[in-house]
Amino acid sequence: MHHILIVEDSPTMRSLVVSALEDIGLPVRISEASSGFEALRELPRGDYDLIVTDINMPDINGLELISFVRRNAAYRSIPLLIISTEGSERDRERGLELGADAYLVKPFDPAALRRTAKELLEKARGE
Amino acid sequence: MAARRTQKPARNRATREFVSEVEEILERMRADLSDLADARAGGRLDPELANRLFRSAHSLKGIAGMFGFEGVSDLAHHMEDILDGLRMGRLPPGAPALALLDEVVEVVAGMLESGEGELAAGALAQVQALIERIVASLASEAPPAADDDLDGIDASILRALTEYEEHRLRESLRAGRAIHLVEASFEILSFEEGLSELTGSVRALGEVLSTLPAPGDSPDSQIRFSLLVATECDAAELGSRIDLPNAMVRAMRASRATPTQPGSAAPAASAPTELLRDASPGESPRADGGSEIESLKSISETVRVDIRKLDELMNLVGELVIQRGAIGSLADRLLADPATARAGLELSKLHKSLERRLTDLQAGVLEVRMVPLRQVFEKLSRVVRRLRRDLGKDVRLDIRGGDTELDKLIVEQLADPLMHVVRNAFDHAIEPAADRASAGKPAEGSIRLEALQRGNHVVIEVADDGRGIDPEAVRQRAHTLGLIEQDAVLSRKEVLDLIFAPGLSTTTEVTETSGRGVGMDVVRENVTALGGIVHVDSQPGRGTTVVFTLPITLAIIRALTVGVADQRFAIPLTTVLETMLVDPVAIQRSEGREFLTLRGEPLPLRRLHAEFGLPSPPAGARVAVVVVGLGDLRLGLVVDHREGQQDAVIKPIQGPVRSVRGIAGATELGDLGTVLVLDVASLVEDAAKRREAA
Repeated sequence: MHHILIVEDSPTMRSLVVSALEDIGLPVRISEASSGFEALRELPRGDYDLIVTDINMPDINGLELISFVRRNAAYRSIPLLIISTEGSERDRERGLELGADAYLVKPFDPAALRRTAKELLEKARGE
Repeated sequence: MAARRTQKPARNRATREFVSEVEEILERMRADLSDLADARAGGRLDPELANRLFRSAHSLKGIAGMFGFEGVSDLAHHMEDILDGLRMGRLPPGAPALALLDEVVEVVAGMLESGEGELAAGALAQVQALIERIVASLASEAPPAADDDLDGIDASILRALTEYEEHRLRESLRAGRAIHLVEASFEILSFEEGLSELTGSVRALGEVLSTLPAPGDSPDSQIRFSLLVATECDAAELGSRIDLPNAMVRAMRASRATPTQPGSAAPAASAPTELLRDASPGESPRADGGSEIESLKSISETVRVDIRKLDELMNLVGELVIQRGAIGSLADRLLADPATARAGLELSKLHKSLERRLTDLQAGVLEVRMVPLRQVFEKLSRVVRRLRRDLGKDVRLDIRGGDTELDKLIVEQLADPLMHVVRNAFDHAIEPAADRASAGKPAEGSIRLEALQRGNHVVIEVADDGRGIDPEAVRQRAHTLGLIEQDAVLSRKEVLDLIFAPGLSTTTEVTETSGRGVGMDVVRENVTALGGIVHVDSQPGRGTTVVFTLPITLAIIRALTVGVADQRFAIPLTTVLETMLVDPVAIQRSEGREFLTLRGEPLPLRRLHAEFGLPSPPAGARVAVVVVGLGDLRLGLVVDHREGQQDAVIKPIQGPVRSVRGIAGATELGDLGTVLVLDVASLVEDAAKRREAA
C-alpha cells in the first residue's frame, strides 16, 4: 500500500488530484491536508511514500514545506511532486532546487499526474 | 485531515464543489476588493491584502482551468496579472486597472450563474481587451527590479522564499527596515496555538515575511519555526516586546531608519538575544520602549518630501492634463467623421475615464502640497510675544482659522507680507496705553488674525483696534511725493489704497501719523505675484483691517479660453462668475467708461482689445462678456467670443512680456499652442481704482 499526502488549499483541486491518483493502478491510500500547517501535523502520523503539494497556500507555502521536508531526516527521502498553477515558474524552480522531484502545471492532465506519481512511487520503492 | 480509502468521487460532487468554491472565492474577493478600495482612498495598502487577492485570482484560474471554464480562467488570469502587479509593487494602489476588478468579479459571477462559464463573445472580448490594454500600459512602467544585496540573510531562508516573499524582503530593505529572525520551538502536534501567538505579537511590531519550519531538537516531537521579520525595532526591542519563552531574536540587518541612541548599547548583530519571560511587570528592559516605538511608527507614516519634487510631479501631472486635452480633441475630430465615428466613440470613452483618473491624480498631488496656515500663524504669534516682551506693549493676538489650507508655496511666500502687516500693526497702529486710555479704549490692544476659505480663495484678515489711518496725512504725503495732484478728487478707499504706492509708506513721517509703515508696496507686490490681491480699510481712531485674498493653489488651473481678434487668452476659471453674449447697444457709457447693467447693478467693462492693443471687432457685432470677480470686486471683460474650458499649467514668462500688467504667465494648451493667461487680480484692481476715481 502506497501512502500519498496531498497538500492543497483548494477543495476542488484536492478532489481532482485525489480522484486522479485513486486510479493510478497501484494500491494507494490517500491523505489530504488543506494547508501547510495541516501538512506539518499530518507528516508524523503516516509513513508517506509520496507528497503532492501546491505552492501558493496560506500559512506556510509549498516552498517552506518542501524545505522542511528535505531538512528533516525522517522525511528527506519521500518523493515530492509540485502541482502549481501556471505563472509561478520562478517558484516552481525554487521548489526543484529545494529538493522536489518533479512538477506539474495546473490545469493538469490526470493521466500525466498518474504517470508521474507512479514513476516517483516506483523509483522510491526500487531504491 | 483523516486519511481515507480510495473512493471515486462522483463527477457531480466535484462540480458542486467547484461551483461552491468559486462562489466562496468570489465572495472573499468582493470583501477584499472593498477593503482595497478603502485602502486606495486612505493611501495605505496592506501588502497581505494584495497578496490574498492575488491568491484568490490564482486559485480561481487554476480550478476554472481544470473544469474547462476557459472564459472564467481567462478573466481570472487577467485579474491575477493586475493583482500580481499590485502585490509586487509594479502597480500603484491607485492604478486604474484595479478599479476594473469589481466589474470582472461580477462578470465571472454572471458566467458561473449562466452555468456555461462563458459570456457573449462580444462582452467578453471587450472586458478582456480593456484589461489587457491597461495591464500592458502599466507593465511597461514597471520599475527595473533593483538587485539589492541580500547579504546577512541566511541562505537557507532565502532559498525557501517565494517570489512574493522575496519581493517583500527587498521592499523592506529598501524602506530601511531592520530584518530579524525570530525563532521558537513548539510541540509538533500542537504548534499552531503557540505559533499564532508568536506571529500575532510580532505582527504588532512589523511584518512577517516568511514562516519557515525546521525540525526541532527532537525531530519526532518538536518543530522549530523561523519567522523572517521586517520591523522598525531593533533586535533587543523586538525581543523585549515578544513575551514568549524560548523565542530568540537574531538581527540580520539593522534598520537604516532607527537612529542609534547614545547610551543604549546596540545589540551585536547576529548575536542571539535570549528573551526573558520572567522580567517582572513594570521592569521591562527598556521602560521607554513603548513611546519610542510609537515615535518610530509615526516617522514611518510621514514622509518628508522636497517641495521641488512635488513641483516636478505637478509639472508632470500638468503635462498629462494637457495631453489629455489633446486626446479629447482628437476623439472629437474622429467622432465628427462618420468613417471614424466608432473609433472616436471608443476613444472618447477612454478619454472620459482618463479624465476622471487625472482629476483624482491632480487633486491628490494638490492635496499633498496643501499645508495649514497654522505654521505661519504660530510664527507670527511668537513674533508678537517677543515684541510684547521687548517693547513692553500690551497687545493680544487672536488667531482664527489656522486649519485653513493653502498650497505650501503660497504659505511660504505669504509669511513675509503677513509679518510686515502684523509688525506694523503692533509697532505703529496700536497706541501707547496712555493714549488708549484717553481714547476710551481698553488698555490691552488687539490684533486679530483670521483666515477663512471662500470657494477657491482664502481670505486672510489682519485687523487691529489701533489709531487707524489718517487719510489727510496720506494725501499730503502722496502729493509731496508727486503721486497725486493737490486738488485730485479721490474716494476714501482710493486714498487708503495709496499706502500701497511705492515710497509712500516707508517714510517715518507718514508712519508716525498714519500708523502704517514699512514697505506696504512690497507687500502688495508679493501678494500680486501669488495671484492674490490685498486691500486695506480703516476708520480713524477705530482701527485698520488689511485683507489678503489668495488663490488656494498656483499650479494647475482650469481656464476659460477666449478669442480676442486673432489672439487667445486663458482666464482662470476660479475668477469667472459668468459669461454672456451682449448686443453692443446694451453697453452704456458714462464719463468715458463703459458699463453694463447686470441685475440692476452697474458692471464696469474692460475691452481686452484696447487693453492689449488688438484690432477692435466690427461696430455692431455681438461681443462676449466674461464676468470675473475677486473678493467683492466685479469686472466684465469684453472679448470677441468664448471658446471652452481647458486645464492650464501656468508657467512664468521669460523676457519682455513678463512685465506686461494684466498677464500672469503663459500656458501650453495642447493643440491650441501657447496661450497667455490673464492676471485677473490686477485687471480687477485697476478697474476698481478707476471706478473709485470716477
